[in-house]
Amino acid sequence: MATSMEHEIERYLLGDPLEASKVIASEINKSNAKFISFIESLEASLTNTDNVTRGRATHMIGDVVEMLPPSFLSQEQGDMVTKFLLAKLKDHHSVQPHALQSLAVLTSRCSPLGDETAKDICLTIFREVQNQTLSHADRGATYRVLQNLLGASTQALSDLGGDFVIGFIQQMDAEKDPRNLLICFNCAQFICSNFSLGPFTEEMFEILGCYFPVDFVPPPNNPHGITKEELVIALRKCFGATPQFAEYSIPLLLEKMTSDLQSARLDSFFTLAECAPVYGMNGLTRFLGSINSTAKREVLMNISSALVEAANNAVTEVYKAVVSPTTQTNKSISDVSENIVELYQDVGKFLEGTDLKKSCLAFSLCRAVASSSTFAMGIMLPLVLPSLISCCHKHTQVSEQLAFVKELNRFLSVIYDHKGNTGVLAPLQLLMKSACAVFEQLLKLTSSDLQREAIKGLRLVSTPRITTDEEQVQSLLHLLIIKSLAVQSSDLRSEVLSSLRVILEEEPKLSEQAIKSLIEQTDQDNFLLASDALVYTVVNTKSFTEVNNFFLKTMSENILALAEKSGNLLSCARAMKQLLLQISKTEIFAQVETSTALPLISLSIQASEQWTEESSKTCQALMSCFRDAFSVFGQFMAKSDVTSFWDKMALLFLEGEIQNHDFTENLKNIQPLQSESPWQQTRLVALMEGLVISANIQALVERREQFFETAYVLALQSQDEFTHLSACKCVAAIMNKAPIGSQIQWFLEPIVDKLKRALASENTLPGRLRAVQLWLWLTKAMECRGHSATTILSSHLISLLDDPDLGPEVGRRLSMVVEDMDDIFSAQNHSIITPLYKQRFFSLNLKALVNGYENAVSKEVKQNYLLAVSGIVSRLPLQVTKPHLNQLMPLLMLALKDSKNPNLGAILSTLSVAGASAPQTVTSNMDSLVPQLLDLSIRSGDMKVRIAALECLEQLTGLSSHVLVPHQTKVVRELKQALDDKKRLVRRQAAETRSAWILLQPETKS
Amino acid sequence: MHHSLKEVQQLTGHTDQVWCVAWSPSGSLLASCGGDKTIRIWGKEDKSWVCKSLLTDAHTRTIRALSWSPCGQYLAAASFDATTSIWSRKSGEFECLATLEGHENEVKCVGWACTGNLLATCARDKSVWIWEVTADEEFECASVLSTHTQDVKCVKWHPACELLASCSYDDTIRLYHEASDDWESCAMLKGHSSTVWSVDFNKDGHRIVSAGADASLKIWQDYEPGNPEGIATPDNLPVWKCVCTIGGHHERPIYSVNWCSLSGMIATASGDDSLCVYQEISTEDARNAPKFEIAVRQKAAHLEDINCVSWNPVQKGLLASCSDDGNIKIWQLQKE
Amino acid sequence: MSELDNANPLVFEITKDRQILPEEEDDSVTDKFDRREIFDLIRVINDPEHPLTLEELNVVVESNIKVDDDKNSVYVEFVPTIPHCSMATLIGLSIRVKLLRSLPPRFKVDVKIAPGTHESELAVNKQLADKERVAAALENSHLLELVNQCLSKRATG
Repeated sequence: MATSMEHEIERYLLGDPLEASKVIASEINKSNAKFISFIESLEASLTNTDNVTRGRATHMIGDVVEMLPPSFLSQEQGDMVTKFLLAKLKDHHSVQPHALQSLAVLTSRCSPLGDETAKDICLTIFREVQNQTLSHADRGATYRVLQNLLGASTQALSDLGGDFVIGFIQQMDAEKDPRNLLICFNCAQFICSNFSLGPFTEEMFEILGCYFPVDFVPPPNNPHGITKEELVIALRKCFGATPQFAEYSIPLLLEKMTSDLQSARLDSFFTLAECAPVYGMNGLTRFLGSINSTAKREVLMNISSALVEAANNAVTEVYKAVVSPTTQTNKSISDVSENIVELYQDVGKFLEGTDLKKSCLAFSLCRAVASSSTFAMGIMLPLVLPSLISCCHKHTQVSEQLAFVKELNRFLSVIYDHKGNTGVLAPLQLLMKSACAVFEQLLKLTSSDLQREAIKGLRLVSTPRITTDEEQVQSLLHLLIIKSLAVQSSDLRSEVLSSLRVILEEEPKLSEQAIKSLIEQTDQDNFLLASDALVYTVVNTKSFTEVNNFFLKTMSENILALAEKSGNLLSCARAMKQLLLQISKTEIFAQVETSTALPLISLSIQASEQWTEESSKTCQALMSCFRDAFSVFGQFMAKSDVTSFWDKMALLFLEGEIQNHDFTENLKNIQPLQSESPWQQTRLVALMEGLVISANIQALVERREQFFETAYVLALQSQDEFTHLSACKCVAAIMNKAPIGSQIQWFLEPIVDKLKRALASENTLPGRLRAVQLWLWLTKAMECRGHSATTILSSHLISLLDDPDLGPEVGRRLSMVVEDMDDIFSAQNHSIITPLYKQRFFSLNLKALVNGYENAVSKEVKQNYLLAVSGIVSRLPLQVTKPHLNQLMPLLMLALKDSKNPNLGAILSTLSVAGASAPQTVTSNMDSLVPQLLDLSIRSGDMKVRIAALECLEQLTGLSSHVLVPHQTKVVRELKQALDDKKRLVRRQAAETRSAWILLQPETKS
Repeated sequence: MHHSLKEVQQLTGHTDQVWCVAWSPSGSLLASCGGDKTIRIWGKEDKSWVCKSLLTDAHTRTIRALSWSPCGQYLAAASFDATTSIWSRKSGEFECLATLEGHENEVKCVGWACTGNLLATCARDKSVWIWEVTADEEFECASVLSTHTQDVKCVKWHPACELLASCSYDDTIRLYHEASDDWESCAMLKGHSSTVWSVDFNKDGHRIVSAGADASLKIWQDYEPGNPEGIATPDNLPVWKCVCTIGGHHERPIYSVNWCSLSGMIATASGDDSLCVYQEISTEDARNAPKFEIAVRQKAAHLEDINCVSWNPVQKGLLASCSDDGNIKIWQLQKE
Repeated sequence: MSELDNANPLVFEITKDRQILPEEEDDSVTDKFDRREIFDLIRVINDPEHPLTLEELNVVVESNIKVDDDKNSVYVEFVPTIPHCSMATLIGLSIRVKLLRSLPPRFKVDVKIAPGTHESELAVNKQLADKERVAAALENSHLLELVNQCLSKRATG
């Protein structure tokens, strides 16, 4: 090996360093050669008279070590090599950088160096290396050496004490390169937080402080990947590395907080907020006054919401830090309270409310203090709340009232955070009472925004653990019940209902009373609102039982009286579904089979005797609601509960077995899965659908295959559209979830054969169309799970586009394969969903679709393909279609020409988005696209399309202006026609679009 | 007597509003200009009017008005860019010969005097400038007249002598002549209740017609010193008196009025999208109390405001109009 | 900008978005231009010197608008925030330009100061009615920028 070692060294020196080091490293690694012999072989070169050769030889040590596995070298070997390298640091100045580079490698690859060696490295570097004279890469090597040693030999370096600190400071002095600075900042932070800085605290801070605030713009394309944000954060950590920095950094931050540069101010506030916990009471207290006034200045200037927020946040952090419980002394605490009072007095004149904006800002600053600690809250609130409450009373304009009452609620939220802490709350009770008076006043006004805030405010002060006044709680509850039965406006209503929920959750014993009064006050007109509100009163088992029984009873009564009214039935069913969702993750859900699921089945069977042709729509709506309810059962019931529930359902549906269940009524036998049964019965399959689509397939054991077969036949044969679709979904859900290796394999072939027979042209068209529908659902199910059989299914489906009778239906519906159907196929429903299945489907079938279009024999068939393509494209995310846009664009443009294409709107939105994310493709098609869009905007018969085309045109204005300017005059002129569209909504968009095109260039006039 | 206007042809080409149309003295060319900063020269080929030349790049903003020299060899164009350009067609093609600078802001109108030796311009800077044309085609400012108190909208020369009329946003009309080596204002005609947009002389120059934002027309008659009516003429200067006001035919401002020297008919163009033609009817005292009747009221003559109307100086009854809708129309007046 | 003319304006509540009626989504029905439609176009115009809209400042209110779709006329009166507001012309110009850009050209648009609400009411009205001055103003890049700022969608409310 010896000869070859020399050979490789020579090869290295002559210019093939990479290969040579690789060979040597691998020889050493394989123990074919010894590391020591490598160093020995290198000796001649290391002592060569030529500076260049010595340099390269020095460098080679690092290169080889780098290719050895980490920690390959023993401590002894490391120390030995270090000696060599340190000697080279003292060598000619052109050799020194190579020694640094190799040391950087060595210190990172050979972690346990001896303590003395580590110290030696540092001291030698500090003595020998004039870092400022080196290139940035070599300076970087110095820093990496120090960084590595800081991590590996912390104690040794710490022992060097002040020598190390001052040495580091001198090395990093005047560093400008962002890559190096990032390392320096990391080192500095480590040193400051782990070492005693001794007499060099100020020097250390100065060397860091001169970089604040970081002002760095990465070069174009940012080749080093270093962002300003990284540097800012690294430097901020340095500032907060030791409490000793407080006396130096706070004056600097205060100065920068009044800089003209907004970014500097922002950075200063952020930095102060982050450092405050470290600096603590000792570091901060004497600066409180200046911090107060600087923050006040910033907040009241109101330059941007980000700055105001940052200043407020800094204030909160500072006050939080100065009253931290461990450092409290009487003196300091009184200092703090003096400062709080001073801040309040300072902004006092703005709190009178004459200038709305300034008042709100001043209040926000006071709140920043109040929210910092219980102590601060106790001082600030009695001072500030009376002013705020008087502002609320004083103003009569809605916008002003709203601003102040929102502010008041923010303060009350601060109080609310201390709920249950009676000692803190007691002194504030009177203030909260006067806030109540404000809210009661506001409730008399018509503005729903004001009412919403009033209710929110009342809720904040009237929760049992905030107030001791039971009457107050009672009257709020009363108010909420009245409002929940009357208010429809969505914002206000959601506040009312969530307040109701919060109050009852805090005091569950009130729920009984709430339910009682809601039910008592329910009548025909407010039933929808009442049933909705009842859902929010359920906070425990007891309340659930009451509401559940009320819903069941009402539905049962309504079903029996179906001829007269159906409205309440559906309101109730929807509320029931909401209720189930709400309790789905609570303990109450355990009892839901008995309490709700079985009664709903009874109800459905009862109802099946009542439906008539007139109530067919209501039946669909009710069954859809119940289906959703059953899918809540499937999703959230425990697996064993699902199994037993499924057993009962399967028995009932397949065998007509009713008697064994605890159904309350004597029910007639029914056969919901027989296609000959009347639709009143077959629609019950929706209940099965709910369970099958949502449950874990492993829980559906007994009679699963039997159900599958039956549902399959029902899907093919049922002439009732609702039943047919529901059965299709049952089949699809089982196909999708069937365990791998189970019957699915031998299911599929006979299924496909049967389906092909059903599709055959000698059958009736409705029958064939049902088979197409089922095929589509099967394809969707199999595509979702990424099954290997999907190709057969989808390619046959695409070939059906050529069929004169079935083609249009396939064209219209094919896109369902790539459609999101979260209510059936989702992880929540235990479906099997292969990632990127849509992409797969699209890329596998795109060619067939494009070819199919090109080879189509007639215009009608071409149309089927265009429909299919445009449907699929418009349902796929753009990043999927983007690579194919060039290929698709001509087809999409053709699709745009077909005024009857139902996907026009969607294609237009695809193009809208494409304008932003695939500008190249859109740009190259501008000449045909713009006239096409103008034509659709003005002449399409469908207002939705006209609007979509106008939106698309508006989106185009995001392209670069040289693309747009040639079309500007024409677009601006032609859009005049769209301004006179007969539909107002189109005109509104036309005005927006035209304005966007006019504003392209400032010179253009109207 | 009933008349009607028959639309002969619509000329399209301008890409923005058209502000002005002007016939060449021989009546064979029509020049137009507007918001697209271009001048178009239209001529007849076979039976239809086509755009013969497109003059661009002389102005950076709207070209507001045009005027042909009496010899027909020069065309002056006034622009919002504060300059007036002079075009020569001596070489056959139109060439920009000179650009007159001096006004502080938008030049609103330009007019060539009957002798061809003088040119007048007016602007938003409230002044009227008179330019002298030297033998070697140079233009020198002869006078700056700042008698109006507002924006000057239009200037028009007398058909036979060097008398200039201007009208303004200050609701008045002013007349100017050269006296003892300098130009001066020699009369102020007050009567309109709002901006006077346009003025014109009749064939012999003894009458002026004016029209403006008050949607009415006024006819002014001159009374020389020693006139038979015995109307006083202070300083021995002619006096102009309003002898007739015609209103009620337009619903919005009248932007342009033109008096035909062949037929004596008056045409008006208005912001109500209509054109009107008026003719004088005989009365006992035609000089002091003339009467005019409406001959044609062409509603919706254009889709938007009509900015200018102009009679062909040679072919009787041929009328050109232009509009904010970007189009020019040529009409033929017909008796019914 | 130096001192604001009116540093502390009253702020008014803004109207809720127009509720879309079923017939507005029915393609066979013609929606006539109405007062609210014009109001919706101009209420969102930004005031030149406050970060507020003309609606929030009560400069434009729906009842001060007249529209006659059949006669192609739109008439808008606006109320400057204070009687000596130096921005009245710019506000009027912005309203005018917004309507010029957003309404079909068949409409004749008149924009005026509500009688008795501004010291220079007549002068401002005359200026706003002068189409030549409006056209010239829109070729003035500085002025156009001011107008476009008033007409731009402002990010914050």
